[in-house]
Amino acid sequence: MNSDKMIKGIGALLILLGVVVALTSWIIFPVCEMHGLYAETKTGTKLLMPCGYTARAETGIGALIVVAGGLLIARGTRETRQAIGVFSVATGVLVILFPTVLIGMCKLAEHPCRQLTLPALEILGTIIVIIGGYLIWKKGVNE
Amino acid sequence: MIEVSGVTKTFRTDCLEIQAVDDVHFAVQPGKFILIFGRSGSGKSTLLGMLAGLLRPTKGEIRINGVDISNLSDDKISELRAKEIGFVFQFSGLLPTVTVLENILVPTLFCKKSPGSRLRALELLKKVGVSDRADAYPCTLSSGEMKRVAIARALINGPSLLIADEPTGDLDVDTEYEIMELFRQLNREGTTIVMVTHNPDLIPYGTQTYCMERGKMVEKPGSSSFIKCEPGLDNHPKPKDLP
Amino acid sequence: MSKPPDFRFFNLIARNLANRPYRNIATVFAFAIIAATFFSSHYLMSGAQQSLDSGISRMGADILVVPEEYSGAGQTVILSGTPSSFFFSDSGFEKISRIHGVAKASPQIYIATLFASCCAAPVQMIAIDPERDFTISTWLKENPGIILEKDDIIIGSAIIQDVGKDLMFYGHNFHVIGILEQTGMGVDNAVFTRFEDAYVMADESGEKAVKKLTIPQGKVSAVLVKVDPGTSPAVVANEIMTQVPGTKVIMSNGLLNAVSGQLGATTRILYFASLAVTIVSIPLLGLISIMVAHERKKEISILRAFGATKSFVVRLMFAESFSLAIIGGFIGIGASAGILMIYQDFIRITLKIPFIMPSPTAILVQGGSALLLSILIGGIASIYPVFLITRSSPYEAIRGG
Repeated sequence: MNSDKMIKGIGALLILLGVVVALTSWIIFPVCEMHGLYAETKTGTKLLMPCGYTARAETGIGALIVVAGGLLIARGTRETRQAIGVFSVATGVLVILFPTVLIGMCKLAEHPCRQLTLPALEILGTIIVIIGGYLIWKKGVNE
Repeated sequence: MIEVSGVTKTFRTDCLEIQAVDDVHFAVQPGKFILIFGRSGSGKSTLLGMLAGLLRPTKGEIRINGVDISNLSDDKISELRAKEIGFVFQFSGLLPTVTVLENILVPTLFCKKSPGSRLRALELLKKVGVSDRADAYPCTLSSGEMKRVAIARALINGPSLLIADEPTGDLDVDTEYEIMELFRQLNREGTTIVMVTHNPDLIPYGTQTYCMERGKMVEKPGSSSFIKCEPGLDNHPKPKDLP
Repeated sequence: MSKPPDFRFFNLIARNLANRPYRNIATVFAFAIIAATFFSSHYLMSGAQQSLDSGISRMGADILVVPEEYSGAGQTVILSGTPSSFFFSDSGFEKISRIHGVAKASPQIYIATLFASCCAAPVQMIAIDPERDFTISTWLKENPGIILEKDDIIIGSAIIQDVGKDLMFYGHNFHVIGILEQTGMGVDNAVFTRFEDAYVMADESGEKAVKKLTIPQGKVSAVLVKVDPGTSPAVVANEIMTQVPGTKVIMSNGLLNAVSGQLGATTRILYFASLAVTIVSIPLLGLISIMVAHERKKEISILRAFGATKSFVVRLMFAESFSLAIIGGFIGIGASAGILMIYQDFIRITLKIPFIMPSPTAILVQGGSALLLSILIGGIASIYPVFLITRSSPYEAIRGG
């Protein structure tokens, strides 16, 4: 396959992954608040649980990944490719870290965010890291 | 080094029997450049196939360096081919998935040569004039370049005999000339070559020419009416002159 | 300058595989699906079995006595940990203890909490009498130095909190002193505390909690019974139901049957899927191999013209097929193992089967079997194409141009 076409294909794939990351927590595998689950105070006030904050952070990261994919399509030079590769590895790691370490998800295994959202984000983050690694490694021919 | 005695090849189908080669006798001495000339369908390629051990004769005997190959097992013939015979096909026959250099090295898989085959391959590439394309894939080569690589491949195991089946059939005139000059040079360096062609213009390149028509060598060697075509003479048989 | 390496058999295979990406990707994908299906079915069955074994042994009891009208709830507490609160009107605990054949009897109170302090979902609280308990006591013996004291809780593996930290139930603060190993069954979703602490929690819940909790004094939810060695649990169970009306007994082998029934259905589906994929893939791969062999006739003939024996050609074609099978196998096993491990909780809850991750040895065995199956299918699918190729005349293919 022509190298230029492959890079553009990877750019399109990043855009798709970015959209999926952004939408996972709201539509594909919704977090607890989308199921009507909230933490409640004594006075009955509904509070967001950690998964809600993670979802918002993932939406932002997803948007950044979309932008990175668009940049790669627009200008797939060697330097851009490697920069997008590093960026993808970093954002992919963040996609995994937000729900696991940095913000977290609900603690109970029965919660939908833990059962479905968290694993999906881990898989998506891993794929994005792999794509980023490939972009860094691949020798571009188009200057 | 090659003796062909009374060789016949008959192909049988359900309703037809075709005698592609009919009672052929000839010999090839070491260091000669033999051209077998004839029209399409004359049986020359079938004869070549039997010389290379790719086909078994229905009758007769073929000896290469004293060994009767007609009755050898498939494995033994394969071993002989690997060590003694280099083959250049009508099409280039390069494997598309490996590089030029690796194409040349493929025959070394079948012949336990001493280490250093890759260096020898690079030398051969230089000899045939495509040393700058060692890492290229065949699809990026011109037809002339592919044919040169095919010749280098045929020589990698240091065969005593080079067999070429219409090697210039798909080339333009200029490239054909270059390839034939390469064959002539290899023959001068000592390689025995048996080449089949339907192009009468190539006859002057050979040290000896035999003619085939409808499966028969037109004249047997030694016969008074045997036609031999010497280089430089213009009385070489043209297709319409053959009986 | 160092001597450059020669060209070897595996170099040829690697080139052939790498430089025909589209065709080989399809074949690798097929092998990946085969390996993934086979591996997944065995992984799930093995995990379910392991969970059952450890869960039943964790329960420690031969018989669980619950109120008749709550026998279903009692079963789900043990199997899936769905929180429940119920009490005997009169457990007849003393009567049960005195029945012939009963070695030990331990009362338990089941309380469904409103939520754990972090998340809006209830967990199962089980209050025990440390003097009589033989469920947690086994674990405590294995972890000397840990004593269940005032406001201490021991939590199941599914409750995400660290030892030394606190959890709040009904407004009452508890200290986590230990975490049980994962069983894949209900106890993973439970927290264990003492009777006294449960009563204090209930008393204070009126002021501290969102909803008041009432635990009837002197009433328990269930009695765990261990029978004397050599005594039939079924006989003792019958005696309990006769002498203490209004009770229902749940036996450990009854649990096993209940789960096995559920598991059996899932198992059959997985096995069928595995078999179907295998049956469909062999002719499919065979067809692809035949098409490829036909396409490569000239290439093979060229190799033969340069001295390749028939056995070389056979080795080459089988080696390529096995290589694709191995690559596809690893991809399939790796991907399915990763997904199954990550989605473990979802699988357990959706399929309603007990489940824990199988041991590393079991996983290796399952992975190895799946890989071997891939290789076997690769070999079978290649037999006919290899036969075709070795029977064809190399001269005909070369002359074909």
